[in-house]
Amino acid sequence: MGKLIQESLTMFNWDLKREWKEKNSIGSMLIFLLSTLMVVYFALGTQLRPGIWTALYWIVLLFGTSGIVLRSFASESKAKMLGIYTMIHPNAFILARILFNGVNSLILSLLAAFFFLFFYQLEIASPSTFILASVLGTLTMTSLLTFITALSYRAKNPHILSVILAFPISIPILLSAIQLSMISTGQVGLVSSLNLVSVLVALLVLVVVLSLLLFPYLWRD
Amino acid sequence: MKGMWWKILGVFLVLYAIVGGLLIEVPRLPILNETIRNLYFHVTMWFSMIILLTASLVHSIQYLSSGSLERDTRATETASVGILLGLLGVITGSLWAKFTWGAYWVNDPKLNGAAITILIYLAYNILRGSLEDPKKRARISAVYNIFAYVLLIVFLIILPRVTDSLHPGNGGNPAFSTYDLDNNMRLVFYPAIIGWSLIGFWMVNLRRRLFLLESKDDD
Repeated sequence: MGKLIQESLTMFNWDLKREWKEKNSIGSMLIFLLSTLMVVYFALGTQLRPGIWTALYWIVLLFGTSGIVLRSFASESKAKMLGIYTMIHPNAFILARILFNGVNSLILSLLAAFFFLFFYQLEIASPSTFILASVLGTLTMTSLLTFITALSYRAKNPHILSVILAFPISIPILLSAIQLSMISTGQVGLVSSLNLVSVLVALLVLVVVLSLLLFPYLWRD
Repeated sequence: MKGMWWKILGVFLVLYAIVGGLLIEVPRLPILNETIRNLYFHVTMWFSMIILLTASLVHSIQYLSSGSLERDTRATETASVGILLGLLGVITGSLWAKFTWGAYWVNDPKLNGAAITILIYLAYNILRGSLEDPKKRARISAVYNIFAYVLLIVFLIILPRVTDSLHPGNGGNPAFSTYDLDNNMRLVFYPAIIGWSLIGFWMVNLRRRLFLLESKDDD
């Protein structure tokens, strides 16, 4: 267990250094966010109903996180993968990747929340619920996308495939996260926010545990 | 005849469900009226679908632990037949909805659940299509099958709870819920589930043998 954590931290550091050197992740995130905001502004102005605000916020997070995850895998060549393969345990690899993409996605959700609240006034009735929805929603979504993208990279056309494979199974995550953020803007939901939070936590644990159980089977080639 | 009994039982049970389902006395409920008989077809097909998809999951787990390609064939054929039952369930449900709700398709969490289930297994087939090496295809699709099945079950459990449904038994609609499903209906309902599942497994067997013959042809 200790070795696993140590190896994944090494891998995480390595990813972080590469990112620091290239700095393309944060730049593309910003461009993506700002261009979306511009489009929304041209079409709808600055007054958004809570439902539309939430929809746009989650569209940005959904496509933003899939971009982050795909980028994290795209920079890998076959030779590099072979190098990693001989050095660390598969679980350390997937854990580090989930961690790295998770951190990136959290930064994205922070930026998205900041810009959306800055440009479009919205009363958030319960900030803590909103933060929980964003953090848990993005983390769960990113973990799922990371595993599915790792899986699609074993096949042809990984970019298209990962979207096709991830979309239908990511619905429960999106549904709970969106319901939770609707509640945070003062809408009344069918279920309490506590229930939704526990569903999201359970989904996050489930996705990470399944990734750790199943990833070693993908790794063998 | 040996080994045939379950196939005969399957045919018999489905015949019984069709004849009994159309003739046996059913409770008179407002809105539902005679369409309640669809319970014997639509709901039982969905139950059998879940049974077959679960069998497919078991085959996938067995593939990962044993590595025998026969398990992989069983896993994919079982999933296909399961989805066939799911499609039939959607069609019968859709016909029923036309007569009870007035439209073939409405925005309802259970219908969305059905659509997502079918999408997941379409995605599974697309994944299989994009892998050529049989061993690799078997391994990767088994991993996806397990991952997707677990999330699908979670989805089917939480979805009706976080959104309101028009479905009988939800949101105060007259229902096939436990106390409405009277003993007469149980007499047909449970045998029908077993019948459809047995017919499903028979189809899996035939498809698997066909696949074996075809792959022998290729050699």
